[in-house]
Amino acid sequence: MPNLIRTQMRVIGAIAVREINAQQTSLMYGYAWSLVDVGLSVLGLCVMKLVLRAFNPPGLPPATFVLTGALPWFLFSALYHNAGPSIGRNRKLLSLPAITELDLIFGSSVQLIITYTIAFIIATVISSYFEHSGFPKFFLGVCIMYVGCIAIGISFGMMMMLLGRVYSPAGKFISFFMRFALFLSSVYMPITRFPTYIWPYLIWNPMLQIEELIRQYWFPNYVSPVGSPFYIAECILGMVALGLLCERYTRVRMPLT
Amino acid sequence: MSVLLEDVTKAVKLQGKPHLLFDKLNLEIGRTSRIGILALPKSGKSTLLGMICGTARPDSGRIQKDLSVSWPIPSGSFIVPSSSVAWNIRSLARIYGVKNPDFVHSVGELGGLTNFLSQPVSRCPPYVKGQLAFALGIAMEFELYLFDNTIVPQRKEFKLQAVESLRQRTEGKAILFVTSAAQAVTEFCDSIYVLEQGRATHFPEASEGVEYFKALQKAEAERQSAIAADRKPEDATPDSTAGDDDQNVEMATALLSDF
Repeated sequence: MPNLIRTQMRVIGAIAVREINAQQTSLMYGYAWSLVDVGLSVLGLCVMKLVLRAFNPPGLPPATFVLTGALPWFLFSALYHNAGPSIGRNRKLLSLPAITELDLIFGSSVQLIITYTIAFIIATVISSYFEHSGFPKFFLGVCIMYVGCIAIGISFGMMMMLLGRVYSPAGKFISFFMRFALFLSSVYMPITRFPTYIWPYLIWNPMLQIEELIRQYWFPNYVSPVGSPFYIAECILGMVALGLLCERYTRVRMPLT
Repeated sequence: MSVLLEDVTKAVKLQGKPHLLFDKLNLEIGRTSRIGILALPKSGKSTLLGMICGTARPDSGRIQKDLSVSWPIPSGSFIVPSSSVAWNIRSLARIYGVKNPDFVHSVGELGGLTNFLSQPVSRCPPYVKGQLAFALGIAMEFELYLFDNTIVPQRKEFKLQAVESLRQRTEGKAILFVTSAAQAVTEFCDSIYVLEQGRATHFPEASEGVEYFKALQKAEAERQSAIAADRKPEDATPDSTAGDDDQNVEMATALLSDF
């Protein structure tokens, strides 16, 4: 078993390197442009937030606040959008017996995780420096929530992949709902800015809880009224199990022809 | 120590209809066997190789293997044309965990590609991709090498070198060569299986298997020409003779052999 896991890790690493090399190959500096893409999205968000200055909780630095919410969400979004296309993009690699569809999903996700994590670190260091918001209060907590966000993103992607194979246009409807989810997941504003009577309809969302807890672990003067690490752990376990089941079902019953 | 296929059944959809490729297929490949499988076109040769190497699953039956199996050589579908030859070699080496720092150079030499290592595959002459796929396949350490349709690239200048490299690299290892070309099999294989109606018949003597397969090809060609004649009766000219039918059969046989 350890040998099998080591082999799979090696394959995933190789696919991730291949994906990084394949990014923006038509441009000089290739992969660097992927970082620039993320950087520009983040910059746009920060400028919007600084100009509007709306929904900002008192005492919290606006740019760091929006970054700690938006980048984990962008990563989640990129990961769930990536699962299906990563197989389509690299399906020729499936002629190699060492590679499975799951490897392609994970390998391609590693590339996204590296890109978004680099962007997250650079952006938060810069914003913390200019806004004097300092180092995260509970760094390990932030890391755990970030990893949770990755697990949920990949698992949700595998579920959506199954849905996409059953009914191809499903992705369009999901994107429509995810636009609302972006606003209801505490990305731009904390849950305290929503009226309390709608909280019961929002707090089932594990991404909202992750966002809330990242802020709680980051800022010394922010305490989330809703974040529950145990609930998030349950959701992650459930979603990972369901995601893997969906992936297996898709691979066995509905392979790409 | 071998690869063992037990009662393997596999069906695929052809033009929307289910078509049974293998019906309780049994096959054994020993650790140092050099086996050829002769099969008519469209009889599931690549699917069989896919099942043996693990990229396809049987509908029922068991495939047991306790040796490392290559991908079907010379498949080069994983080669990225916009990237350089060396990049493609490094990429595959990473996947298979090859640590040898000279691997790129040794694959280049095996494939006669040392002058093209830094060039994108798409800008190289057309034969480079085939030679690269062949060299990548035999450069890797496997215990069973699978070959699909051709065993060495057909370019005259490279063929002799390729045969020599192949013999060296696969010495003491197993080979499975699946093809419709009967002559090529006798050159590289000791025994033969002939795939017929989803089942495999074993011929310990390669020459016997080839004879049997040629008869099978001829019968298939006759069947095809009969179907063609039924479909287009209006094409027949008044002065057509029985000799033309024989000629059709011969042409169809030749075509099938070339395939």
